[in-house]
Amino acid sequence: MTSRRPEATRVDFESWLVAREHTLQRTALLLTGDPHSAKDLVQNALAKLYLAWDRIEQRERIDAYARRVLVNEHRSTWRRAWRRHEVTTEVLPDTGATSVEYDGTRDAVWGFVAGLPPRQRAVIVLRYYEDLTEAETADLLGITVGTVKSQAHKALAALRASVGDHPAIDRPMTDLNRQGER
Amino acid sequence: MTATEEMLRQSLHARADRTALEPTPMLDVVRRARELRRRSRRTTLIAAAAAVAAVGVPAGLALGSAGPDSSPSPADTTVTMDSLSDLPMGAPPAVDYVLDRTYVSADGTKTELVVDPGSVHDAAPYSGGVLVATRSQAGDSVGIADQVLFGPGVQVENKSCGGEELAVSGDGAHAAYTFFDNGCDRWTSVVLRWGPTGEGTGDPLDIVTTNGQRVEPVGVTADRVLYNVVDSTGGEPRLRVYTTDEWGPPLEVKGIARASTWDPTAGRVAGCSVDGQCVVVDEGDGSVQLTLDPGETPLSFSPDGRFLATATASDEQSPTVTVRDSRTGDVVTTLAGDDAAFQGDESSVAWEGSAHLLIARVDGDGEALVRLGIDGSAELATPATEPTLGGYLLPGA
Repeated sequence: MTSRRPEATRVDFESWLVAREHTLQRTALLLTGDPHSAKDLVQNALAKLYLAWDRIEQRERIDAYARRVLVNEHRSTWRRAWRRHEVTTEVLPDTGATSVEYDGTRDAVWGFVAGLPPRQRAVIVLRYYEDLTEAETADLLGITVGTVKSQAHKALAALRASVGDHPAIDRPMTDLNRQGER
Repeated sequence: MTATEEMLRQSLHARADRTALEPTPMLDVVRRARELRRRSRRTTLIAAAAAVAAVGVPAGLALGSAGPDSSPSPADTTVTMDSLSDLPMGAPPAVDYVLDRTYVSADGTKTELVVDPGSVHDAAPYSGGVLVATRSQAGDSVGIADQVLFGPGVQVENKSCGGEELAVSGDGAHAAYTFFDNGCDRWTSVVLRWGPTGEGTGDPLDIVTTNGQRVEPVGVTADRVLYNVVDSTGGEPRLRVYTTDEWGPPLEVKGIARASTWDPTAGRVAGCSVDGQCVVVDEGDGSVQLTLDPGETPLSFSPDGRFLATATASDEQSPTVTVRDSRTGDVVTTLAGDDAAFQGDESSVAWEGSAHLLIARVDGDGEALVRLGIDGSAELATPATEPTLGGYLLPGA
């Protein structure tokens, strides 16, 4: 039970939505691999967050709660797809996927990430986009820290093998940083 | 961080940050939240039906085969509603309804329900106030609700754990609900209580059911109540329908596994078997009076029992509402529409007398109550307004 007025809840939630939705959208895009699935995932997560809004007692942790709802929703989605034995296209058609062209390192890397199994991709996104620790990632995905380590290690090893012959992979860090500034 | 890890980090940021993503309108969030709520309510019913053992449905009359005492029905009309804004504005509803968290009585009196957004599962006038069943969380505790009694604008009693379903008699004078007599211990010592909705007009009657049974009142009169029971005492849950009064033992209604609506005057019950076939049966011997089309589910008998409102799901979001002659099965009128969403459960419709059916609908223009006449007329009973999380709910249907 709560005594909050619906208008207050709506205004409060909408203020948060305007300020913070873009971070959820970007994470969703990386988790799902395409804008349409990301939009659907974000809408479901936002709806569940809205339903629970008045019950969130630690208001300073709303962002973390929202991310948890999003990741949980994504886990449910891939598990449902697995139960239905669906085969989803993991590689985006507009990314150039695995074709490594001039200055196309990022596309090649993204093509590799998009082709990872859902859980492994989630580990990579949470560790290297959200910058979560191994423990935080494990907690969010409901897996052990050891699994996070092994999943990340395998993904990085495969990534090196996949795009290791690309010129950028052997560049020094300074070159990579300069490339990121362009 | 290794070079590979840094490259990975930069690639992910570049991918995410360069993609233009449109903000989600608040309206879409509210709509999706309400879908989730509705889906949760629907899941409650499906979960109950899926868990039961099969109940045979005797062969009966097919649709359109007139019974011996049938009278002519109005001509079949179909109202195709593309948009709520197409309909003219009519008189306000003559029955009680809930809009999100406001209970509106037929005389226009409003009672604010101080509950979580979208949590109202059912409501009924009771003991001089409004009894509300709420669910605190979507998707869990199937069939469990908090029950709160509100007076004019204030909470007067919190009944804590109980059932989600409430029933109101056709004349609005009696209501029934269930609660737990043993704290919140699920489905032990369930009390089915029914009594007058006003104060000082008689004492409520109680039945204590056996442990392990979930009880859902479906219909109520001054001295009888019809209810569904999910019996989990024997391992595999079984679904049954009963009627009872103050004196005799409960009588099982044969031929259906779950009842949707009751015509107490004629002694008929509309409901479905576990295989989804829906029928109208005689409550005394279970003989089938009418068999509905595949995929068609009963919603509500008219107060005089002459008509039966049904829903046919063309898809999950916008079932067609049909009013049939309850004896012959003839279609009297139909409300269809490509975009307008109707949730298809019993609490989304209510009869206003026996000539008009109120239907809760929502589309791009907003949400509203639509009044469908058996003469084929259609109008708005409430103006189309921006959708709320709880939406419209018609208690006691």
